[in-house]
Amino acid sequence: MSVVSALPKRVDSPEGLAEAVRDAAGSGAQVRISGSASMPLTAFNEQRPVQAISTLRMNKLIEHAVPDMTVIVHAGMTLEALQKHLAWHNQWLPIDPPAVNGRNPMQRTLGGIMASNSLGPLRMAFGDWRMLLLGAKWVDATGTIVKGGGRTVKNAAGYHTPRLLVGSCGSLGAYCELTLRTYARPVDEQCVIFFCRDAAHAEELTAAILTSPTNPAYIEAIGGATFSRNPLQLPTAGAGTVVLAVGFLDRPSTCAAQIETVRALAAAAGTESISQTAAQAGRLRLWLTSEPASRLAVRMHGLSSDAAGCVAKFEALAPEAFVVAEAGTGVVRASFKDVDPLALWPKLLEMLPAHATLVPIQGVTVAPVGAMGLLDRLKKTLDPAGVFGLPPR
Amino acid sequence: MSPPRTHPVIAELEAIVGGGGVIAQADELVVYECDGFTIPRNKPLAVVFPTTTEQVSAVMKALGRHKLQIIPRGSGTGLTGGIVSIGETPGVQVSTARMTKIHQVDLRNRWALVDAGVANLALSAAVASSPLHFAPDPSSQRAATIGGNVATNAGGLHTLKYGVTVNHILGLEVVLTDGSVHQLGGPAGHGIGPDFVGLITGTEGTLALVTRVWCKLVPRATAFRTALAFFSNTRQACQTVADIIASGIVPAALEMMDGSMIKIVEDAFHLGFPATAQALLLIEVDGQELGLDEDLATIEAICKKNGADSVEASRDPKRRAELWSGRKRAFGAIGRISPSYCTQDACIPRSKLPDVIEHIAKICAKYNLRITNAFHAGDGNVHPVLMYDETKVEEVRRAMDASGEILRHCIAVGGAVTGEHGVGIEKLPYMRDMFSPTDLAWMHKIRAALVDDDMLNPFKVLPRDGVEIDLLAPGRKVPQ
Repeated sequence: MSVVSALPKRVDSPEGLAEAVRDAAGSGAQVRISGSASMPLTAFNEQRPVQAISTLRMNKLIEHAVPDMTVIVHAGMTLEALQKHLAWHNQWLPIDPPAVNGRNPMQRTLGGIMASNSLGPLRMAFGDWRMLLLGAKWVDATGTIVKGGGRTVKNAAGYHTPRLLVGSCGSLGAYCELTLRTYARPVDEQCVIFFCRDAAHAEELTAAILTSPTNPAYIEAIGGATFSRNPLQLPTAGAGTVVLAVGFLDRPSTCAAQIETVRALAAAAGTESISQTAAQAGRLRLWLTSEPASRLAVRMHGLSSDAAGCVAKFEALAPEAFVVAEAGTGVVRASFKDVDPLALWPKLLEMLPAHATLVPIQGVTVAPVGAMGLLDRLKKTLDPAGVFGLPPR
Repeated sequence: MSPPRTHPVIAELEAIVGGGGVIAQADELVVYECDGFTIPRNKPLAVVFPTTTEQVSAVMKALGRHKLQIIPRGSGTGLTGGIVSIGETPGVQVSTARMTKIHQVDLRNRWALVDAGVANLALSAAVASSPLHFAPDPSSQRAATIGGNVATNAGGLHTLKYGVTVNHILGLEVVLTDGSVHQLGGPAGHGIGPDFVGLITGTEGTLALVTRVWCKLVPRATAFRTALAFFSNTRQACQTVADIIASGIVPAALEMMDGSMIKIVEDAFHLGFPATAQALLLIEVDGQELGLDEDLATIEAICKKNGADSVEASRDPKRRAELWSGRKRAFGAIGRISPSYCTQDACIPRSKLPDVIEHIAKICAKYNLRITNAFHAGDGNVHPVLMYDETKVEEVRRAMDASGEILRHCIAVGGAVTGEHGVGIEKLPYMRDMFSPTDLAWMHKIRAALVDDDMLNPFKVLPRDGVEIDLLAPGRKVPQ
């Protein structure tokens, strides 16, 4: 692949981004939008040059309507910067996306997080980007700034075009401004850790928790070997085992009562558990998203009932792997350190359960194969010159 | 019985779906000339009722060959004229009303695959023996189809906590105008790639015809706490709404009625509402039992802090039903005092509620119309109700003009022209107040990419240059 410039062009405003896209398109180059460089690998035409454009300096907070609990920010703002601002007003954006290639996930840009449809354990409690993204501006393939959605929590006016770009990996446009829904910060966070003898046991307990009179904010399934490398001085777990971390966000008394309820469920089956209060629970959740640098990183979107099983299977492939799953929603994330990505990728594909899809985040670029249905149709109309790349598939 | 319309496509449609699957008699088509928005009316050429995705695909191809407008239809409970034929050549309505199969329910993984014609409430009924349900609850949920919910991104009373339809859709099977069938998402939801489910939901049948839906099922609340508060001042009530949400409590419902609606309901049902009250808040928290009493106590304290004249908090299911009865019967009560009424729908930032409610009253005074308000205050979704007599054309015009001024004011304060009803043809003129020509052009490009020959529900949702639709005569006034 040829690159116009080794250094990305840095922009600090939506207008600057629009101009940079126009310039690149005018010179026949393709455009790779780069925030904190955590986007999944995007497929480009190898016969044409690629101009990287960095949005890291396009990072202003435009407006925070505190009583309306909405915030408008530039897409290059980092999650950490936004959370710090919101915390002053006892609000937050309830997301905890994973690290990519060992980098601090809090340093990821909001535009990049959204364009790669990245979310973490809190997806179970707060839903996906459709719940959080109210409106947006983006730069299209002609270098024009386009707006969609609005700033209200309900909006049925026209096509909700900003949602189309979620997960598109910059293939249809580059976010420049985002209008997001914020929430009041939870009073407390507590979690309980269960040591399950195997994946089947973890799945059984997950199913029981999901039908219990509790409202977990997250249920994370962690490979036993992965968990044993935790830096939090927690007990180790044996190979082949699966650890469940079940978290609650609520008042302290309500968190504690729910933890007692789920502990009682597990105790009936003789399962060991440890409960963690606020700071410990927060640190554990953060560690669960701190995927280390790796040669191959993947994300599987599947069913909740398959999550624990996939954690065990993926970890068995490479014991040094970092494998965690959102057991409540069926998203499994795995990072493999000392492996041949091209050799491991097909093995992972073979293991996929029904209804699941596998997304390469690092290590392999999956070339577009065959017709892409609706995306191909849209690319022909919205980006006929192929200024932007294609998402991995 | 009048003779059937004799367009050659009708025989082709009958060959696809069978003779009983096509309606083409003029008198039988009367009930299909409008939806819940009854001002614009125009009979379709025919209504066809496919029962399978394969039939929908064949129907789309047949209608494409004849270059006829294709108008998707669920059960006709829309509120913006989205199924009315526009232009001199009537279109054919493709109804999913006979596609009513619930194909699969996976309680462990909390999803169900249903045909688009399954009624909203029928899905929840089908899983009633489990702790799960389908959360979107538009007031038309007994009749409204899930495909229709998807088309309009329907909301309801409980969207503040549970979200709107798009938050409960994991996947769609859609048919494009060329007859091609596409699966978007599925039981595992959206992974990577553009969120086509998120895009198509809410496009009112202008991009694709939805044939099957993978619905998310969520736990049904098993415990409730309800509070009813009266205020002598609208601003106090609005501040209470903001304070409750800022406290971290996300109520399942946070409904408001203004002074005139309180009086209308009291006159009709004698529920004991205070005559001097200018605002009523109905607040409900739900979920599991744990923590609800604390939430209710916090809500009660916030109401009192903001000067509520009275607050009644209840955990008794019977009393809960009584407290809700006034809100649920509010729109029916309007029928006692006005022969016709139009329920408008816009969404505004919550902080603008007091000013907008006052401004709506001024607009209706200017147009000499009676107005009342009952709305979803928690998410800023206002529903001003304009009362008029539909036998008086001049009064209908005034109601429409006042509606327009209200909607433009809501947009001006940062709001959306519709919160949950959709645009259809009713709100087309105001889309340009909300979106720039560039923004609308992008939407038109998406439509052009997916829809062949402009056949699928044309003239809806997206305004067009040089085209103005007279709602009182939608079949005659469109430049072709």
